[in-house]
Amino acid sequence: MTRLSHILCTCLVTVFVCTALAPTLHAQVVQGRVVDEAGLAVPGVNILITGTDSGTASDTEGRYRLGLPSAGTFVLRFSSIGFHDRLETIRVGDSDELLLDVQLKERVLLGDEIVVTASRQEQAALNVPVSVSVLSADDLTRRNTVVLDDALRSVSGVTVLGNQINVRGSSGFAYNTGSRVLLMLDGMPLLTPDSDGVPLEVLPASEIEQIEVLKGPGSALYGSGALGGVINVITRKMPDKPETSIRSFAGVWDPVRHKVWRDGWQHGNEYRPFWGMTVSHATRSSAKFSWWTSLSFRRDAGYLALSGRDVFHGFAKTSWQPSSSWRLETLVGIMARQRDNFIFWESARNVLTPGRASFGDAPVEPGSSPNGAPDDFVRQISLLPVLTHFVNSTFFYEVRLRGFGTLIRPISDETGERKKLSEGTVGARYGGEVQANWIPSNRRRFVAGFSRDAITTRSSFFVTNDGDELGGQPEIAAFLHAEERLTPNLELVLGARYDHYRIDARDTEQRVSPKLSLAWTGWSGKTLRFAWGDGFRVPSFAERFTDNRDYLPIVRNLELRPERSRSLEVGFRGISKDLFPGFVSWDISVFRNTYEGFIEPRLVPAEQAFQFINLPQARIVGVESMLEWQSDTGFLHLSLGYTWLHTEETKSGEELPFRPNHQVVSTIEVQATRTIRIGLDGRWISEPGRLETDFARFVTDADMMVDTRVLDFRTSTKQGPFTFALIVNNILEYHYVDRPAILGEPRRFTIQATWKH
Amino acid sequence: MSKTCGVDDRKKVRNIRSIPAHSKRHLGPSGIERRSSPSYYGHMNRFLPKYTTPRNLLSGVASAQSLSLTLLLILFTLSGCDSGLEPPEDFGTGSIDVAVTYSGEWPPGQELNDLRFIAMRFLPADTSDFFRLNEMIISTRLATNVPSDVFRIENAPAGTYFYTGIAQQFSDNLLSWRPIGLYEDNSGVFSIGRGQEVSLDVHVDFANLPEFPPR
Repeated sequence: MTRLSHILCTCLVTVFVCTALAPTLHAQVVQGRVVDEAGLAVPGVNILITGTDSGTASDTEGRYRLGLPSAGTFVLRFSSIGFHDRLETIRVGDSDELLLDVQLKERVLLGDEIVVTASRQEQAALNVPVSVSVLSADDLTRRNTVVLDDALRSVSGVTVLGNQINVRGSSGFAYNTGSRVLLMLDGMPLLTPDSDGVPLEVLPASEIEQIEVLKGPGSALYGSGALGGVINVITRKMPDKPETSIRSFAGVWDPVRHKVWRDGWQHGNEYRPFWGMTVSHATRSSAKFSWWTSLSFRRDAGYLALSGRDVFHGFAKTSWQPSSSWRLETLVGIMARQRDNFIFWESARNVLTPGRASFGDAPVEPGSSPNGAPDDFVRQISLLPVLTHFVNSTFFYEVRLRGFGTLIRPISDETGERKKLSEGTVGARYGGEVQANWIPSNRRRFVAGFSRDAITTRSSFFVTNDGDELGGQPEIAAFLHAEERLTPNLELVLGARYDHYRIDARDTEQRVSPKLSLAWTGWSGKTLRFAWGDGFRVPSFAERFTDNRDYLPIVRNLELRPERSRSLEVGFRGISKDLFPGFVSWDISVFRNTYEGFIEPRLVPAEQAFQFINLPQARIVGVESMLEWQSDTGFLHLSLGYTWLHTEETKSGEELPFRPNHQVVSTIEVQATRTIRIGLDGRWISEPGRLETDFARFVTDADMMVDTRVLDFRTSTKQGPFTFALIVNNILEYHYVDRPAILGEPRRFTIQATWKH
Repeated sequence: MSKTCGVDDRKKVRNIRSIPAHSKRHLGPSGIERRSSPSYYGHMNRFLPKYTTPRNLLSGVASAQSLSLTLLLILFTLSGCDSGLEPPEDFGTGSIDVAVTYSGEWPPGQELNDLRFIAMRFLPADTSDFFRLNEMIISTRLATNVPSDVFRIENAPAGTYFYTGIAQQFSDNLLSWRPIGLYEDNSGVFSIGRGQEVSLDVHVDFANLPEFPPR
């Protein structure tokens, strides 16, 4: 605790020293008027001489007058809530009086975001008739997000167990197999071809414009996988001017609190390092062609034995617009990762060391390699071209192609060498779609399209219906989404999607997923919504075909059927400036999701192994609420989200495993000085009401769970083109279980420096 | 374990920003008007300091301050008033000396897939309970076709064991185990504490195998 106090004191002293050194003002003067894009005066704009603490603010007419300390060149920063910051370089001589008028560009504020996931086209988040949360690029940068699960943990209604994302309790825990949340990159499905898992590490965290989290079934637009929700990662747009940025970070994992744990591992008392760097550049080469590229590398020693990883990313996006009606955008990415994969601990008394599960016929042998930490080398490649043709002012269509490949090569515990690909997994997800958008009037919009996709996977872990290791899963689909403004305040949305899947050589599955929603916007800045929709998910290759006893006994289930969901939701969202000084936004929703054929892993005694099976029926009801307040001056930003869930297997009446009943996420962010921001992010997740204790039969203490209570601290300062940040995750050093038999992340310290030009 | 509510309440969150009251502003591409009424900004004037200095942090912003402090309180209360997961108490280990005697005819080799000493912390209800591997002591493979055997199991977790004996795996099926001889003294129950040594005698009569599951 002494160490923690010391850190907090150091941060605060740094803040005060920085601000106390501010120089006093002198005689040279710059003055002018600040206006918005419409030419209207913007009052209350902060005008700061960068590198100093000297500044002023514009008056009610937008006029300002600022004394400068001496003759010379200065950079002025104009900042105001609701507008993008603007930098202006000025040069003044002795006793000069300079005139400088400035126009500020508006920026999006709370609840004002534009989202695309809810309808496959842009619309204001406030008015969408379903629940959508948005994380901006700023949110990611402020938290030093290098893997997206860090950011998603701060979203109300979303929990992350390992890298398995759980929206409103839809997913439990199945080692990232068969995600019920569809991950998309720029609108393209990006689940792994082998397990339908969420490959969070493949995403370019530094090149993200925003992340949209659609809560509730999205199958009517996106098909299988969107049973519980959709996460759409949108990469940044092309800049008008060249931009180069270098972002680097370094830090350490703090040794865990308990000596018993530290003593169980030879490196348990050490600070374990991690570091990384991202270099990106974006430019407009000509009026028709622009591009950005980004390279990043990250090395992490890991806070657990055998949990280190090296990750390399390369991403590039090009945009070619030969005329005003045609545009071709192509996103290409590659990820290479070598990692130790800590799967479960030895016991709750030795959490830092991977354990070895015993199955009676394979007792622990002294000196044997732990099977709780298999290593692998993974390459993932993605290619996503999109051609857009604007036919006229009311109609345009897009042709999208997608390819996503995965290569996994296990690494030998004995030699450290990569094994042959035949002992690993090769998978590809590829396809394309055509989407037409027609907006015949401002009361009516249509989106329609069709798609063709396929998955091909070969894995030494799978035994398919044909008895071989190769499987394919072609799919065709057609979808329609229609919006009609029935009255000036009432909007009706109807949609449906037809999917036809061929599963392996034997089975086909067909589904029609309808949806209906209503949005009432009768009050200014407020939307009352109702949404009903169906979702479905076909079992992944891994769920149907995994047949392996290397780590846990798992047998395939060829009879596994798709699972279906039906969701009902009523919600109320709004923005107000009248309830409290500043801007308040809120969103509250009540939802009820029923599932049929819910796919969950269970120990099946007759099979003497785990197997994915269909549960007859399950139900999840809940309430989700979010309140956000941003002071008018921008000095304070608070947010608080609470989610309550009740889950039930209808037949047995038992709760669904690994679903927490309560979740609270909160943020406080203070503009401590003109250049320094301080933030605290907290999340509290109750211990799941029920654990799947079958796992604990094999893995010692795997049924131990506690509440998750994590508080992260961050502070950052901006000095010219540089931004420096100090981030302390889990500052109170609270120990929790990240997923069964894995200790959650202990305290870690990160220093981040970004140069942007 | 000491509690660690790590908040120094002398450290106050403060604000240095001060913006003169202002009148009208257009915000947001969605067309939501955010014009501020005079009464609204009059309200704000009461809260905002007139001049900005680095040390003039959040002073006067009573509502904002109380709100943020309330939220801070919630954050810290939820976050850190205990240390979370802790190592469970170590009950230690002891050692078990086992003496096994065999009588009757040994089964053929193809039915002797494996042979082990097993002690369970529970009374098994059916073969699926053989999966409760973390609640058992399982020896290494025992010798077969011998009249008797003596062995020692070190590092046996302390605790009480309710069902103990010699188990035979009669095929390569993971669940094809059956007990062939039980520890029967003291109704088959024994306890072992930290550092203790326990001696158990087990007799196997191949002509008279015990019932399973036990009654």
